[in-house]
Amino acid sequence: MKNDKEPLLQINHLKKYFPTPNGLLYAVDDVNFSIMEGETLGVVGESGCGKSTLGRAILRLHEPTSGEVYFRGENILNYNKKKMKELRKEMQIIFQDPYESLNPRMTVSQAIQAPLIIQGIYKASDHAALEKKTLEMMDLVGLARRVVNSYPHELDGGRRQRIGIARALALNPKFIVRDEPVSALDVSIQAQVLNLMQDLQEHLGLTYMFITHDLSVVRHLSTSIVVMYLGQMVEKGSPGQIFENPLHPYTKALLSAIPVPDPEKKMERIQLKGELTSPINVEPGCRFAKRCVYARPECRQKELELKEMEPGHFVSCMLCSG
Amino acid sequence: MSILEIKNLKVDYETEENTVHALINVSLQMTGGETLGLVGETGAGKTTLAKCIMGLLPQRTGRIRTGEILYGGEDLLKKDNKEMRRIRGAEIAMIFQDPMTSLNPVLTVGEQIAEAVVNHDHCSKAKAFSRAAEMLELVGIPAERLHEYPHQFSGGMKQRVVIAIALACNPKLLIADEPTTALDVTIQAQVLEMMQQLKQKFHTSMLLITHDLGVVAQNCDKVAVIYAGEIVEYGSVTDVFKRMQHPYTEGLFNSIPQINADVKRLNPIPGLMPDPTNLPRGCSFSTRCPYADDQCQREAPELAEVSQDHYARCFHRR
Repeated sequence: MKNDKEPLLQINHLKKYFPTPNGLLYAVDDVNFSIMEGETLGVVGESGCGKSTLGRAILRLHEPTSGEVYFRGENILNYNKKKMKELRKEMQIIFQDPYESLNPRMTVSQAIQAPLIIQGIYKASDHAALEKKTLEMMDLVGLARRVVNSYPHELDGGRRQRIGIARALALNPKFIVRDEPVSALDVSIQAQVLNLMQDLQEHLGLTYMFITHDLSVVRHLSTSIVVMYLGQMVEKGSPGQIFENPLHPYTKALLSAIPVPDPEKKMERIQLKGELTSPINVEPGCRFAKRCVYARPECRQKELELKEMEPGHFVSCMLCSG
Repeated sequence: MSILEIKNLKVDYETEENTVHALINVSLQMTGGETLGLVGETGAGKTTLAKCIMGLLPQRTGRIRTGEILYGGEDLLKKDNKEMRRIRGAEIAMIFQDPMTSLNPVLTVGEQIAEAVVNHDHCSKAKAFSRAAEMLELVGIPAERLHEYPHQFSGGMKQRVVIAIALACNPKLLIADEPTTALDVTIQAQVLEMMQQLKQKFHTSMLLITHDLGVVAQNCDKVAVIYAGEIVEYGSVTDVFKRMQHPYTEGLFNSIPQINADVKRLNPIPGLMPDPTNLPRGCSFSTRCPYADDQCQREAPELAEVSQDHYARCFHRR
């Protein structure tokens, strides 16, 4: 990715290990990437591959084990608590499970106002200004004003997701992590929300990191894509590169597993044996080797590095030679 | 010869404040060995239909107003509890949506599979356990894991166990309610492939409830699209996917991002499904339909045959 601009966010050798009774769990293991302002990075992988941990480690919701996170050229891992709180105005997260991420005892207006009060932008006593801002945010994300005093249980998934978006946007952030571990919404509602996110990105110049398991959504939205497997990046590239010319056997398998909504195109699936292996005390070598149809003995011996196969297209596989 | 025939089924949920119209004059037919996909949004009535067939409609609120569910020529709605207990599991089995919560955490998976066998075949426990071991192997889990508990299995494996329970008594009809929604795509592909193989082996018919159009295209012979309790389109998968007639079906397809092409902007159906306690007077889709006119708001269209075995409920067929 050749660009004269400085990236908004740059991650170097980010690691997050969790201690468990059985040994270290390698949730995020040496991840590197950068996101330019106004772009969208899509992060895909199966559940348990560390994609959600990655998003949280970048925002320091999980303190990274080691590595660097540069936001506008400054390593935010050196920030103290006060500076970090300041920064959170610019970096927000939308927890996309709309059923579990909202406080059931807070009305829509309370949920949207909470970040504004916590960040000291408005005083809690300044009801008039808070109400004005709340309604402004609700208009922005397309929430009807009449639900302002409703509780989450009274609203459907699409509206709840809009509350999550409204409260993340209330602070005028530059960078937003969208963590969507499960597809919680029906297709028509999902499409409405995706369009909304795209409009907001255009109007407000937002930068997104979009974490999901849904590959078709990633292709639709992203400017670049990272494929993760057991804490590591296995492939990185533009949507065109990943979808038209996938190089890593895992990416190929992942793409071939998507059911195509066309009865005349029968799937030619690349058989993937078994499930994601345990990220605890991983063995050296390629972590995908156990499930890979092309695996050779040497795959389990050498540590792999990301190799650039074509401009901007990186892959970590022994069998892809540059 | 049809194995299951649903005729004019109308179901309401009666609550203290109001009446929810869950299913409105639903008619369906399934022949032996066939897979029927049932597609629709949350709240469209998919699960209610499954519960009616199984006789599991909540007794306090569920009301079957009219209709018949003919299974092998007999009306299931006329059966008493005792007869339904014999049919459930042995003749018609169900796979529930969430494998994480549909297994009993304090029983081993072996006990849970054997329970179904003992209840229906009245055989000895030892025999039931050997049947359970056989079923586990069949769904691709080593039989030595028979004595492990659900928490020792991953999500995909738990769903395989649920499928093993459902198939343990060789049912003739399998109702799968979003069997792979909670799973990753790679695991989903494994589970669906396995279900296809088992279905062919035992010549089971399957009602597959899902909102994933891709899953329907790859696994079903016929498909019924359900909206606000009504079947709006019904036909072979090729007819419905390639020659769709109803604007709602069209809207569903426009809402999914294409994996094979770059589309700049999605074209979703505007608005939300109507409140099932207060349905519009005419066509229930008229409030969101780009083609709706006066007639649509006045009259409710009938499900009409547009070509052989392809039905749509719309005045303005495409």
